[in-house]
Amino acid sequence: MIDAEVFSASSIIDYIRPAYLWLFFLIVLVIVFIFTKIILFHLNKYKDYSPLTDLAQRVFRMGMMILYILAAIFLILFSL
Amino acid sequence: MIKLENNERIIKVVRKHWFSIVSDLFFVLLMAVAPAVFLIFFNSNIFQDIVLKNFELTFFLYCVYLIFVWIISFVVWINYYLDIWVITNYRLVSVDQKTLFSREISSLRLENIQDVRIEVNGLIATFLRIGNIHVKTAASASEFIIYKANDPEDVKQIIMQAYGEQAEKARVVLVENNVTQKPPQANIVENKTVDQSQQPIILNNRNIP
Repeated sequence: MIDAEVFSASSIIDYIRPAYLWLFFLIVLVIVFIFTKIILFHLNKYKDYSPLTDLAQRVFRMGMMILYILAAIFLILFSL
Repeated sequence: MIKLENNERIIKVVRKHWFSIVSDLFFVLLMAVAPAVFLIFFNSNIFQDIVLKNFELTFFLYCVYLIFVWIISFVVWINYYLDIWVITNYRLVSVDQKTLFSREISSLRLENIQDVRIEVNGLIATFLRIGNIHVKTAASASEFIIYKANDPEDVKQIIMQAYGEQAEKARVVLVENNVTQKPPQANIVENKTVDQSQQPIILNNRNIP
């Protein structure tokens, strides 16, 4: 229980277990995977009239990977 | 995917002006930086407590947030980039990417075009040559519209030119058909000299002398 007398925001965070955050991260991964597939499907299907789609795919994948790796690094640091 | 007919060739692919995507992406950028700006300028003890003591968790959540913003930005980009008009020598194909899962593809034969109208509203639109193009069809009251098109006057010229070529081609084919496939009876009728004044006038399916 959180004691109202000595309440601080960081005390809430003490209750968050890293395991829950990893589960949350996994759910995010699944959602992101689905959306990535949809976006890449659109970009591949209509690429005949849209020459920038290949470049867009590379930028999208690269940005997604960087953000995902960063998130994983911060989560590992939090878990330690 | 648009399937082209025999001898059909693409003249131009028309997209929205780049200013359209820039203005949309500006709001996405605001979404991306909003939490960071909020945490920096919001000098509350609670937030300082969270950010400074648990910066790993804060940055983790911020990265997850940015992943979704990144997806949104590409959805916006897809809505912009896959929303096109394809002008061919036979028809006008409008591909309207409404949302990620909603797409409308309609096609209009050039000979059915009745009117092409452009509208340019505002200072930025005038300087950057942004405008809406309305193409009215002969068959129905509906219109083909592309909003915020790039260089609408140029697009209008191209459509009118393609329409002119198509109409000319149709006229030539019609004349050729009349010359080669004229029935013999029709020739006889044509060769007769008919005095219009001697013909009875037909009113309400009854002959009146």
